[in-house]
Amino acid sequence: MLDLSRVNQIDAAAQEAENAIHDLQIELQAEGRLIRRQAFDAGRPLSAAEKVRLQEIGTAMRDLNNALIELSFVTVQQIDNSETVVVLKDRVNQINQNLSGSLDKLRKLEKFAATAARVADVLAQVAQGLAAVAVAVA
Amino acid sequence: MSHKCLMHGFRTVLIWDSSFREEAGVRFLLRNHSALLVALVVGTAACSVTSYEQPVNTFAEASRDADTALKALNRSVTDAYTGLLKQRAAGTNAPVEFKPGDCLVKSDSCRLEITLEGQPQLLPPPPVAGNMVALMESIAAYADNLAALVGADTADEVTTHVNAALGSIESLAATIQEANPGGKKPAVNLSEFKTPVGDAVSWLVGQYVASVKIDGLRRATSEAQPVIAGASQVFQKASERAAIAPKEQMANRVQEAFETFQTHRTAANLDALLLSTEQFNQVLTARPADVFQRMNEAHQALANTLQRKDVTLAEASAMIEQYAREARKLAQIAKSFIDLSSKEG
Repeated sequence: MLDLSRVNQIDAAAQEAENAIHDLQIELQAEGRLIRRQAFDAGRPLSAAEKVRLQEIGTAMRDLNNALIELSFVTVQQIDNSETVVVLKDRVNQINQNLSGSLDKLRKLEKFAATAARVADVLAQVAQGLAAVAVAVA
Repeated sequence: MSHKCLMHGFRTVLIWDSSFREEAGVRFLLRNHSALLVALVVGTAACSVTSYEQPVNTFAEASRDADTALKALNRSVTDAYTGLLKQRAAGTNAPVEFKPGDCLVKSDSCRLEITLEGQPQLLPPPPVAGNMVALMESIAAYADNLAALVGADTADEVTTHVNAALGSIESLAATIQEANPGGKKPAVNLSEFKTPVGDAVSWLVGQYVASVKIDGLRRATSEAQPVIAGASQVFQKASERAAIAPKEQMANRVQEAFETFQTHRTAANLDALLLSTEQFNQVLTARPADVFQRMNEAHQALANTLQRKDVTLAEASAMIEQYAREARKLAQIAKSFIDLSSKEG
Protein backbone atom coordinates (compact mmCIF):
# COMPACT_ATOMS: atom_id res chain seq x y z
CA MET A 1 0.00 0.00 0.00
CA LEU A 2 1.47 3.34 -1.07
CA ASP A 3 2.12 5.77 1.79
CA LEU A 4 0.99 9.25 0.82
CA SER A 5 0.96 10.67 4.36
CA ARG A 6 4.19 12.66 3.99
CA VAL A 7 3.05 14.19 0.69
CA ASN A 8 -0.32 15.03 2.26
CA GLN A 9 1.42 16.68 5.25
CA ILE A 10 3.64 18.81 3.01
CA ASP A 11 0.68 19.85 0.88
CA ALA A 12 -1.51 20.66 3.90
CA ALA A 13 1.18 22.88 5.46
CA ALA A 14 1.69 24.71 2.17
CA GLN A 15 -2.03 25.29 1.70
CA GLU A 16 -2.31 26.73 5.22
CA ALA A 17 0.53 29.17 4.53
CA GLU A 18 -0.96 30.11 1.13
CA ASN A 19 -4.34 30.77 2.72
CA ALA A 20 -2.77 33.03 5.37
CA ILE A 21 -0.97 35.05 2.66
CA HIS A 22 -4.17 35.22 0.60
CA ASP A 23 -6.11 36.57 3.62
CA LEU A 24 -3.50 39.32 4.08
CA GLN A 25 -3.70 40.22 0.41
CA ILE A 26 -7.48 40.50 0.60
CA GLU A 27 -7.12 42.95 3.49
CA LEU A 28 -4.54 45.04 1.62
CA GLN A 29 -6.69 45.04 -1.51
CA ALA A 30 -9.70 46.20 0.54
CA GLU A 31 -7.65 49.00 2.15
CA GLY A 32 -6.49 50.24 -1.27
CA ARG A 33 -10.06 50.22 -2.59
CA LEU A 34 -11.27 52.17 0.47
CA ILE A 35 -8.60 54.87 0.05
CA ARG A 36 -9.49 55.41 -3.62
CA ARG A 37 -13.24 55.33 -2.94
CA GLN A 38 -12.98 57.90 -0.11
CA ALA A 39 -11.12 60.32 -2.41
CA PHE A 40 -13.64 59.76 -5.23
CA ASP A 41 -16.68 60.18 -2.94
CA ALA A 42 -15.19 63.40 -1.55
CA GLY A 43 -14.69 64.62 -5.10
CA ARG A 44 -10.99 65.29 -4.62
CA PRO A 45 -7.68 63.84 -5.93
CA LEU A 46 -5.62 61.50 -3.77
CA SER A 47 -3.55 63.25 -1.12
CA ALA A 48 0.24 62.79 -0.94
CA ALA A 49 -0.16 60.56 2.12
CA GLU A 50 -2.77 58.44 0.39
CA LYS A 51 -0.48 58.00 -2.63
CA VAL A 52 2.36 56.89 -0.37
CA ARG A 53 0.08 54.44 1.40
CA LEU A 54 -1.14 53.02 -1.93
CA GLN A 55 2.47 52.55 -3.05
CA GLU A 56 3.22 50.73 0.20
CA ILE A 57 0.21 48.50 -0.39
CA GLY A 58 1.43 47.73 -3.93
CA THR A 59 4.91 46.87 -2.62
CA ALA A 60 3.45 44.69 0.13
CA MET A 61 1.29 42.83 -2.43
CA ARG A 62 4.36 42.11 -4.56
CA ASP A 63 6.35 40.98 -1.51
CA LEU A 64 3.54 38.60 -0.58
CA ASN A 65 3.46 37.29 -4.16
CA ASN A 66 7.19 36.65 -3.94
CA ALA A 67 6.64 34.78 -0.69
CA LEU A 68 4.11 32.61 -2.54
CA ILE A 69 6.72 31.78 -5.19
CA GLU A 70 9.24 30.73 -2.57
CA LEU A 71 6.62 28.66 -0.80
CA SER A 72 5.62 27.02 -4.09
CA PHE A 73 9.24 26.16 -4.95
CA VAL A 74 10.06 24.71 -1.55
CA THR A 75 6.80 22.71 -1.40
CA VAL A 76 7.25 21.17 -4.84
CA GLN A 77 10.88 20.38 -3.96
CA GLN A 78 9.84 18.60 -0.75
CA ILE A 79 7.16 16.58 -2.55
CA ASP A 80 9.67 15.71 -5.29
CA ASN A 81 12.21 14.47 -2.72
CA SER A 82 9.69 12.35 -0.82
CA GLU A 83 10.13 8.58 -0.76
CA THR A 84 6.64 8.20 -2.27
CA VAL A 85 7.80 9.57 -5.62
CA VAL A 86 10.89 7.33 -5.65
CA VAL A 87 8.77 4.23 -4.93
CA LEU A 88 6.29 5.15 -7.67
CA LYS A 89 9.09 5.65 -10.20
CA ASP A 90 10.53 2.20 -9.46
CA ARG A 91 7.14 0.52 -9.83
CA VAL A 92 6.35 2.15 -13.18
CA ASN A 93 9.78 1.16 -14.49
CA GLN A 94 9.07 -2.46 -13.52
CA ILE A 95 5.72 -2.41 -15.29
CA ASN A 96 7.37 -0.99 -18.42
CA GLN A 97 9.88 -3.84 -18.36
CA ASN A 98 7.06 -6.39 -18.19
CA LEU A 99 5.32 -4.72 -21.12
CA SER A 100 8.55 -4.90 -23.14
CA GLY A 101 8.48 -8.61 -22.36
CA SER A 102 5.02 -8.91 -23.96
CA LEU A 103 6.24 -7.03 -27.03
CA ASP A 104 9.28 -9.32 -27.30
CA LYS A 105 6.96 -12.33 -27.11
CA LEU A 106 5.06 -11.01 -30.11
CA ARG A 107 8.28 -10.47 -32.04
CA LYS A 108 9.48 -14.01 -31.31
CA LEU A 109 6.07 -15.34 -32.26
CA GLU A 110 6.35 -13.51 -35.57
CA LYS A 111 9.69 -15.20 -36.37
CA PHE A 112 8.49 -18.63 -35.34
CA ALA A 113 5.16 -18.36 -37.14
CA ALA A 114 6.74 -17.06 -40.32
CA THR A 115 9.14 -20.01 -40.41
CA ALA A 116 6.37 -22.51 -39.62
CA ALA A 117 4.13 -21.05 -42.31
CA ARG A 118 6.92 -21.05 -44.89
CA VAL A 119 7.84 -24.65 -44.13
CA ALA A 120 4.23 -25.82 -44.29
CA ASP A 121 3.59 -24.01 -47.53
CA VAL A 122 6.74 -25.15 -49.28
CA LEU A 123 6.19 -28.75 -48.23
CA ALA A 124 2.66 -28.62 -49.57
CA GLN A 125 3.73 -27.09 -52.86
CA VAL A 126 6.67 -29.43 -53.32
CA ALA A 127 4.23 -32.28 -52.84
CA GLN A 128 1.95 -30.79 -55.52
CA GLY A 129 4.85 -29.99 -57.86
CA LEU A 130 6.34 -33.48 -57.61
CA ALA A 131 2.92 -35.04 -58.14
CA ALA A 132 2.50 -32.96 -61.33
CA VAL A 133 5.96 -34.02 -62.56
CA ALA A 134 5.18 -37.65 -61.83
CA VAL A 135 1.96 -37.33 -63.82
CA ALA A 136 3.75 -35.61 -66.72
CA VAL A 137 6.49 -38.26 -66.80
CA ALA A 138 4.01 -41.06 -66.59
CA MET B 1 -19.70 -10.64 -27.09
CA SER B 2 -21.00 -9.12 -30.32
CA HIS B 3 -22.74 -10.96 -33.14
CA LYS B 4 -19.87 -9.96 -35.42
CA CYS B 5 -17.29 -11.54 -33.11
CA LEU B 6 -19.24 -14.82 -32.93
CA MET B 7 -19.56 -15.05 -36.74
CA HIS B 8 -15.82 -14.33 -37.02
CA GLY B 9 -15.17 -17.26 -34.71
CA PHE B 10 -17.43 -19.62 -36.69
CA ARG B 11 -15.69 -18.68 -39.93
CA THR B 12 -12.41 -19.71 -38.32
CA VAL B 13 -13.80 -23.17 -37.67
CA LEU B 14 -14.84 -23.61 -41.32
CA ILE B 15 -11.43 -22.51 -42.67
CA TRP B 16 -9.67 -24.95 -40.36
CA ASP B 17 -11.86 -27.81 -41.39
CA SER B 18 -11.29 -27.33 -45.14
CA SER B 19 -7.54 -26.87 -44.61
CA PHE B 20 -7.26 -30.23 -42.87
CA ARG B 21 -8.99 -32.10 -45.61
CA GLU B 22 -6.96 -30.53 -48.44
CA GLU B 23 -3.39 -30.56 -47.28
CA ALA B 24 -1.50 -33.65 -46.25
CA GLY B 25 1.58 -31.56 -45.59
CA VAL B 26 0.03 -29.99 -42.54
CA ARG B 27 -0.53 -33.12 -40.55
CA PHE B 28 1.61 -31.72 -37.77
CA LEU B 29 -1.09 -29.06 -37.12
CA LEU B 30 -3.98 -29.65 -34.71
CA ARG B 31 -6.70 -32.16 -35.67
CA ASN B 32 -8.94 -32.60 -32.67
CA HIS B 33 -12.16 -30.86 -31.57
CA SER B 34 -10.47 -28.98 -28.78
CA ALA B 35 -8.45 -27.14 -31.40
CA LEU B 36 -11.67 -26.01 -33.06
CA LEU B 37 -12.98 -24.77 -29.74
CA VAL B 38 -9.71 -22.89 -29.12
CA ALA B 39 -9.99 -21.38 -32.58
CA LEU B 40 -13.52 -20.20 -31.79
CA VAL B 41 -12.53 -18.69 -28.43
CA VAL B 42 -9.35 -17.16 -29.81
CA GLY B 43 -11.38 -15.81 -32.73
CA THR B 44 -13.28 -13.56 -30.35
CA ALA B 45 -10.03 -12.17 -28.84
CA ALA B 46 -9.08 -10.78 -32.24
CA CYS B 47 -12.44 -9.05 -32.42
CA SER B 48 -12.04 -7.48 -28.92
CA VAL B 49 -8.48 -6.26 -29.14
CA THR B 50 -9.07 -4.07 -32.21
CA SER B 51 -11.82 -2.24 -30.31
CA TYR B 52 -9.18 -1.13 -27.78
CA GLU B 53 -6.83 0.41 -30.32
CA GLN B 54 -8.52 3.82 -30.47
CA PRO B 55 -9.01 4.36 -26.69
CA VAL B 56 -5.50 3.09 -25.89
CA ASN B 57 -3.97 5.40 -28.51
CA THR B 58 -5.99 8.34 -27.15
CA PHE B 59 -4.83 7.54 -23.62
CA ALA B 60 -1.23 7.53 -24.83
CA GLU B 61 -1.65 10.88 -26.57
CA ALA B 62 -3.31 12.41 -23.49
CA SER B 63 -0.47 11.15 -21.30
CA ARG B 64 2.07 12.80 -23.60
CA ASP B 65 0.16 16.09 -23.20
CA ALA B 66 0.01 15.65 -19.42
CA ASP B 67 3.78 15.02 -19.49
CA THR B 68 4.31 18.24 -21.48
CA ALA B 69 2.13 20.17 -19.01
CA LEU B 70 3.99 18.88 -15.97
CA LYS B 71 7.36 19.72 -17.51
CA ALA B 72 6.16 23.23 -18.32
CA LEU B 73 4.87 23.74 -14.76
CA ASN B 74 8.18 22.46 -13.41
CA ARG B 75 10.07 24.89 -15.60
CA SER B 76 7.86 27.87 -14.80
CA VAL B 77 8.17 27.45 -11.03
CA THR B 78 11.94 26.99 -11.33
CA ASP B 79 12.23 30.06 -13.59
CA ALA B 80 10.07 32.15 -11.25
CA TYR B 81 12.20 31.18 -8.28
CA THR B 82 15.38 31.87 -10.29
CA GLY B 83 14.00 35.36 -11.06
CA LEU B 84 13.46 35.96 -7.36
CA LEU B 85 17.01 34.87 -6.47
CA LYS B 86 18.44 37.12 -9.21
CA GLN B 87 16.45 40.09 -7.85
CA ARG B 88 17.91 39.50 -4.43
CA ALA B 89 21.42 39.00 -5.80
CA ALA B 90 21.30 42.26 -7.78
CA GLY B 91 19.19 44.31 -5.37
CA THR B 92 20.64 43.45 -1.95
CA ASN B 93 23.96 42.69 -0.27
CA ALA B 94 23.18 38.99 0.02
CA PRO B 95 26.49 37.11 -0.40
CA VAL B 96 27.03 35.69 -3.92
CA GLU B 97 30.08 33.41 -4.16
CA PHE B 98 31.42 30.52 -6.20
CA LYS B 99 30.30 27.18 -4.80
CA PRO B 100 33.28 25.92 -2.76
CA GLY B 101 35.71 24.06 -5.06
CA ASP B 102 34.01 25.24 -8.26
CA CYS B 103 35.13 27.50 -11.13
CA LEU B 104 38.82 26.56 -10.93
CA VAL B 105 40.86 25.09 -13.76
CA LYS B 106 40.65 21.60 -12.32
CA SER B 107 37.08 21.89 -11.03
CA ASP B 108 34.36 19.59 -12.37
CA SER B 109 31.89 22.46 -12.61
CA CYS B 110 31.44 26.16 -12.16
CA ARG B 111 28.45 27.21 -10.08
CA LEU B 112 27.38 30.23 -8.06
CA GLU B 113 25.72 30.28 -4.65
CA ILE B 114 23.63 32.93 -2.99
CA THR B 115 23.23 32.88 0.78
CA LEU B 116 19.85 33.91 2.09
CA GLU B 117 18.95 33.69 5.78
CA GLY B 118 22.10 31.73 6.41
CA GLN B 119 21.27 29.09 3.76
CA PRO B 120 23.41 28.82 0.60
CA GLN B 121 21.48 28.02 -2.57
CA LEU B 122 22.63 27.40 -6.10
CA LEU B 123 22.11 30.24 -8.53
CA PRO B 124 20.39 29.33 -10.80
CA PRO B 125 18.68 26.58 -8.81
CA PRO B 126 18.36 23.10 -10.38
CA PRO B 127 14.90 22.13 -11.76
CA VAL B 128 12.64 21.65 -8.80
CA ALA B 129 10.64 18.54 -9.79
CA GLY B 130 13.18 16.22 -11.43
CA ASN B 131 11.80 13.03 -9.84
CA MET B 132 8.17 13.85 -10.63
CA VAL B 133 9.07 14.75 -14.21
CA ALA B 134 10.84 11.39 -14.54
CA LEU B 135 7.80 9.62 -13.04
CA MET B 136 5.39 11.25 -15.50
CA GLU B 137 7.77 10.43 -18.36
CA SER B 138 7.67 6.78 -17.28
CA ILE B 139 3.88 6.86 -17.18
CA ALA B 140 3.79 8.39 -20.68
CA ALA B 141 6.20 5.64 -21.81
CA TYR B 142 3.93 3.04 -20.22
CA ALA B 143 0.96 4.45 -22.16
CA ASP B 144 3.05 4.36 -25.37
CA ASN B 145 3.97 0.74 -24.62
CA LEU B 146 0.26 -0.13 -24.27
CA ALA B 147 -0.37 1.50 -27.65
CA ALA B 148 2.58 -0.37 -29.21
CA LEU B 149 1.26 -3.65 -27.83
CA VAL B 150 -2.28 -3.17 -29.10
CA GLY B 151 -1.06 -1.85 -32.46
CA ALA B 152 1.75 -4.39 -33.08
CA ASP B 153 1.40 -5.60 -36.63
CA THR B 154 2.81 -9.04 -35.89
CA ALA B 155 -0.09 -10.78 -37.64
CA ASP B 156 0.32 -8.59 -40.74
CA GLU B 157 4.05 -9.30 -40.79
CA VAL B 158 3.40 -13.02 -40.60
CA THR B 159 1.07 -12.70 -43.59
CA THR B 160 3.82 -10.78 -45.42
CA HIS B 161 6.29 -13.58 -44.73
CA VAL B 162 3.80 -16.20 -45.84
CA ASN B 163 3.16 -14.31 -49.06
CA ALA B 164 6.91 -14.04 -49.59
CA ALA B 165 7.04 -17.82 -49.33
CA LEU B 166 4.75 -17.99 -52.37
CA GLY B 167 7.55 -16.40 -54.36
CA SER B 168 9.72 -19.33 -53.48
CA ILE B 169 7.16 -21.70 -54.96
CA GLU B 170 7.55 -20.13 -58.39
CA SER B 171 11.32 -20.72 -58.29
CA LEU B 172 10.68 -24.17 -56.89
CA ALA B 173 8.56 -24.96 -59.92
CA ALA B 174 11.45 -23.78 -62.13
CA THR B 175 13.86 -25.99 -60.18
CA ILE B 176 11.63 -29.01 -60.72
CA GLN B 177 11.55 -28.19 -64.42
CA GLU B 178 15.36 -28.16 -64.54
CA ALA B 179 15.42 -31.48 -62.76
CA ASN B 180 13.12 -32.87 -65.44
CA PRO B 181 14.28 -31.44 -68.76
CA GLY B 182 11.78 -32.03 -71.55
CA GLY B 183 8.93 -32.53 -69.07
CA LYS B 184 6.13 -30.09 -68.61
CA LYS B 185 6.67 -27.41 -66.03
CA PRO B 186 4.36 -28.13 -63.11
CA ALA B 187 1.32 -25.92 -63.28
CA VAL B 188 1.81 -23.52 -60.42
CA ASN B 189 -0.23 -20.44 -61.13
CA LEU B 190 0.30 -18.04 -58.26
CA SER B 191 -2.57 -15.77 -59.15
CA GLU B 192 -5.06 -18.62 -58.96
CA PHE B 193 -3.44 -20.43 -56.13
CA LYS B 194 -4.30 -19.04 -52.72
CA THR B 195 -2.45 -21.28 -50.37
CA PRO B 196 -5.01 -22.48 -47.87
CA VAL B 197 -2.22 -23.64 -45.58
CA GLY B 198 -0.57 -20.23 -45.59
CA ASP B 199 -3.90 -18.51 -45.05
CA ALA B 200 -4.87 -20.80 -42.21
CA VAL B 201 -1.54 -20.43 -40.47
CA SER B 202 -1.61 -16.65 -40.91
CA TRP B 203 -5.12 -16.48 -39.57
CA LEU B 204 -4.49 -18.70 -36.59
CA VAL B 205 -1.33 -16.81 -35.72
CA GLY B 206 -3.36 -13.60 -35.97
CA GLN B 207 -5.86 -14.91 -33.48
CA TYR B 208 -3.16 -16.05 -31.10
CA VAL B 209 -1.43 -12.69 -31.38
CA ALA B 210 -4.70 -10.99 -30.45
CA SER B 211 -5.01 -13.12 -27.36
CA VAL B 212 -1.41 -12.30 -26.35
CA LYS B 213 -2.24 -8.60 -26.78
CA ILE B 214 -5.44 -8.66 -24.75
CA ASP B 215 -3.76 -10.70 -22.02
CA GLY B 216 -0.84 -8.23 -21.99
CA LEU B 217 -3.18 -5.25 -21.75
CA ARG B 218 -5.15 -6.80 -18.89
CA ARG B 219 -2.07 -7.67 -16.90
CA ALA B 220 -0.29 -4.34 -17.44
CA THR B 221 -3.29 -2.14 -16.63
CA SER B 222 -4.12 -4.19 -13.55
CA GLU B 223 -0.53 -3.86 -12.23
CA ALA B 224 -0.32 -0.20 -13.14
CA GLN B 225 -3.62 0.93 -11.66
CA PRO B 226 -2.48 1.39 -8.02
CA VAL B 227 0.66 3.15 -9.26
CA ILE B 228 -1.29 5.51 -11.53
CA ALA B 229 -3.69 6.21 -8.65
CA GLY B 230 -0.78 7.10 -6.34
CA ALA B 231 1.00 9.18 -8.97
CA SER B 232 -2.23 11.00 -9.75
CA GLN B 233 -2.58 12.11 -6.13
CA VAL B 234 1.03 13.30 -5.97
CA PHE B 235 0.72 15.21 -9.26
CA GLN B 236 -2.59 16.77 -8.22
CA LYS B 237 -0.99 18.30 -5.16
CA ALA B 238 2.34 19.22 -6.75
CA SER B 239 0.77 20.78 -9.85
CA GLU B 240 -1.55 23.02 -7.83
CA ARG B 241 1.41 24.23 -5.75
CA ALA B 242 3.54 24.68 -8.87
CA ALA B 243 0.79 26.65 -10.63
CA ILE B 244 1.32 29.41 -8.04
CA ALA B 245 4.35 30.62 -10.00
CA PRO B 246 2.62 31.56 -13.27
CA LYS B 247 -0.34 32.90 -11.27
CA GLU B 248 2.01 35.13 -9.33
CA GLN B 249 3.52 36.49 -12.51
CA MET B 250 0.11 37.18 -13.95
CA ALA B 251 -0.99 38.77 -10.67
CA ASN B 252 2.00 41.12 -10.79
CA ARG B 253 1.20 42.06 -14.40
CA VAL B 254 -2.40 42.79 -13.51
CA GLN B 255 -1.32 44.81 -10.46
CA GLU B 256 1.06 46.93 -12.58
CA ALA B 257 -1.55 47.48 -15.28
CA PHE B 258 -4.04 48.42 -12.54
CA GLU B 259 -1.68 50.95 -10.92
CA THR B 260 -0.75 52.42 -14.31
CA PHE B 261 -4.40 52.92 -15.15
CA GLN B 262 -5.15 54.45 -11.73
CA THR B 263 -2.33 56.96 -12.24
CA HIS B 264 -3.04 57.71 -15.92
CA ARG B 265 -6.63 56.96 -16.84
CA THR B 266 -6.42 56.60 -20.61
CA ALA B 267 -8.30 54.31 -22.99
CA ALA B 268 -5.04 52.56 -23.93
CA ASN B 269 -4.18 51.86 -20.28
CA LEU B 270 -7.70 50.57 -19.66
CA ASP B 271 -7.38 48.20 -22.65
CA ALA B 272 -4.06 46.96 -21.31
CA LEU B 273 -5.67 46.36 -17.91
CA LEU B 274 -8.62 44.51 -19.45
CA LEU B 275 -6.30 42.32 -21.52
CA SER B 276 -4.19 41.42 -18.50
CA THR B 277 -7.26 40.49 -16.43
CA GLU B 278 -8.57 38.31 -19.29
CA GLN B 279 -5.22 36.50 -19.55
CA PHE B 280 -5.10 36.04 -15.78
CA ASN B 281 -8.62 34.60 -15.86
CA GLN B 282 -7.54 31.89 -18.27
CA VAL B 283 -4.68 30.95 -15.99
CA LEU B 284 -6.86 30.96 -12.87
CA THR B 285 -9.52 28.75 -14.44
CA ALA B 286 -6.97 26.16 -15.62
CA ARG B 287 -6.98 23.55 -12.87
CA PRO B 288 -3.92 21.34 -13.35
CA ALA B 289 -5.08 19.00 -10.59
CA ASP B 290 -8.17 18.07 -12.66
CA VAL B 291 -6.04 16.70 -15.50
CA PHE B 292 -4.22 14.29 -13.21
CA GLN B 293 -7.48 13.23 -11.59
CA ARG B 294 -8.87 12.47 -15.08
CA MET B 295 -5.72 10.47 -15.83
CA ASN B 296 -6.49 8.19 -12.91
CA GLU B 297 -10.21 7.92 -13.76
CA ALA B 298 -9.51 7.16 -17.43
CA HIS B 299 -6.92 4.51 -16.60
CA GLN B 300 -9.15 2.92 -13.95
CA ALA B 301 -12.00 2.74 -16.47
CA LEU B 302 -9.71 1.14 -19.07
CA ALA B 303 -8.42 -1.41 -16.56
CA ASN B 304 -11.97 -2.20 -15.38
CA THR B 305 -13.34 -2.69 -18.87
CA LEU B 306 -10.45 -5.03 -19.73
CA GLN B 307 -11.24 -7.01 -16.60
CA ARG B 308 -14.94 -6.88 -17.57
CA LYS B 309 -15.83 -5.09 -14.34
CA ASP B 310 -18.97 -2.96 -14.64
CA VAL B 311 -17.54 -0.48 -17.10
CA THR B 312 -18.31 -0.72 -20.80
CA LEU B 313 -15.72 0.09 -23.43
CA ALA B 314 -17.89 3.01 -24.53
CA GLU B 315 -17.87 4.47 -20.99
CA ALA B 316 -14.10 3.98 -20.70
CA SER B 317 -13.60 5.61 -24.11
CA ALA B 318 -15.64 8.64 -23.05
CA MET B 319 -13.51 9.09 -19.90
CA ILE B 320 -10.34 8.73 -21.93
CA GLU B 321 -11.57 11.36 -24.40
CA GLN B 322 -12.26 13.76 -21.52
CA TYR B 323 -8.77 13.17 -20.12
CA ALA B 324 -7.36 13.86 -23.58
CA ARG B 325 -9.27 17.15 -23.97
CA GLU B 326 -8.23 18.48 -20.57
CA ALA B 327 -4.62 17.37 -20.94
CA ARG B 328 -4.38 19.04 -24.36
CA LYS B 329 -5.81 22.29 -22.96
CA LEU B 330 -3.49 22.27 -19.94
CA ALA B 331 -0.45 21.56 -22.14
CA GLN B 332 -1.29 24.63 -24.25
CA ILE B 333 -1.79 26.86 -21.21
CA ALA B 334 1.30 25.50 -19.48
CA LYS B 335 3.46 26.23 -22.54
CA SER B 336 2.32 29.85 -22.35
CA PHE B 337 3.60 29.88 -18.74
CA ILE B 338 7.10 29.28 -20.07
CA ASP B 339 6.77 32.19 -22.51
CA LEU B 340 5.59 34.29 -19.58
CA SER B 341 8.45 33.38 -17.27
CA SER B 342 11.07 33.83 -19.99
CA LYS B 343 9.78 37.36 -20.68
CA GLU B 344 9.65 38.25 -16.99
CA GLY B 345 13.05 36.64 -16.27
